[in-house]
Amino acid sequence: MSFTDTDLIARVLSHEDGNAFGELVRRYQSPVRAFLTRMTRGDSHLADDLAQETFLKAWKKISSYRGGARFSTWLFGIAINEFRSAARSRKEFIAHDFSEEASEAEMAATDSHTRLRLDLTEALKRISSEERAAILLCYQNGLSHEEAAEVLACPLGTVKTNILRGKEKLKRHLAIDYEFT
Amino acid sequence: MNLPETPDPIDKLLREQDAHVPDDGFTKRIVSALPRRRPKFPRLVLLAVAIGGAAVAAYWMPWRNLPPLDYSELFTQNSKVLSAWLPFVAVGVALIATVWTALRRKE
Repeated sequence: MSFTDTDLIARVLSHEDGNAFGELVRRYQSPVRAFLTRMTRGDSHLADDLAQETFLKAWKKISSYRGGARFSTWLFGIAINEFRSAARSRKEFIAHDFSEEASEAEMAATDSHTRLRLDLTEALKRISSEERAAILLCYQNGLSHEEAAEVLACPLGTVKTNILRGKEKLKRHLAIDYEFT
Repeated sequence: MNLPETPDPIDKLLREQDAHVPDDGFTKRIVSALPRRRPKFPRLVLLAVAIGGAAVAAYWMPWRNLPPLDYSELFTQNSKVLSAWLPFVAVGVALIATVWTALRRKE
């Protein structure tokens, strides 16, 4: 029998059920860790540390989850705050020139579609963190613009602008090799 | 999610990005690191202990045998006034500290 997120949260609140919370972690660890890995420009160790802090904070603050938004939306809100706290003390999250670097995976990829996906991964590192966050939330995690605005604690117009600008930058980065228009 | 007005070729590419991360023990590590959500001694218990302790102290303290609080004798060597009043002060401070802790505790 599969429990809904609401059922699991109710068990955590009423019985402090670690197993119920563990099921929530199991369901959402992949999107949260993937999001944070992309936000940290591929630093999977830091991403996992931030993801761990995200879930531990979610456990402590779960009584503040009101149920109006999806649980994943609430989790992403905590995750982006963890990222922003880490970013304040880490200069490498400020724009960095990656033009000279090519990953081993890029060098090894032979088919053009794989190379394009890998180049997109690299291109995502070159846009600002707010643009990257908006694009990742809406395109990879299926959030609406309104949900993304709630996660990022910014106006809806800002989310739309960041997505437009981010996509234009990505297309410019990819246009040279792939005639991406 | 909101659909774009005209299809943008990069949209498909962005949605295709494989973002799955295998668990590899992550969930187990989180669950094993979960702290207690509820404090061991809730606020009401602390307050009850403080009030109960105050009541017991008030009943058992030898009020009649207490010397008058003569400030000139208080800090002299071998002061009987100080040695008699010190336990009262210590108990009072402990009870106030307990009540203060209970009131400041976040539930």
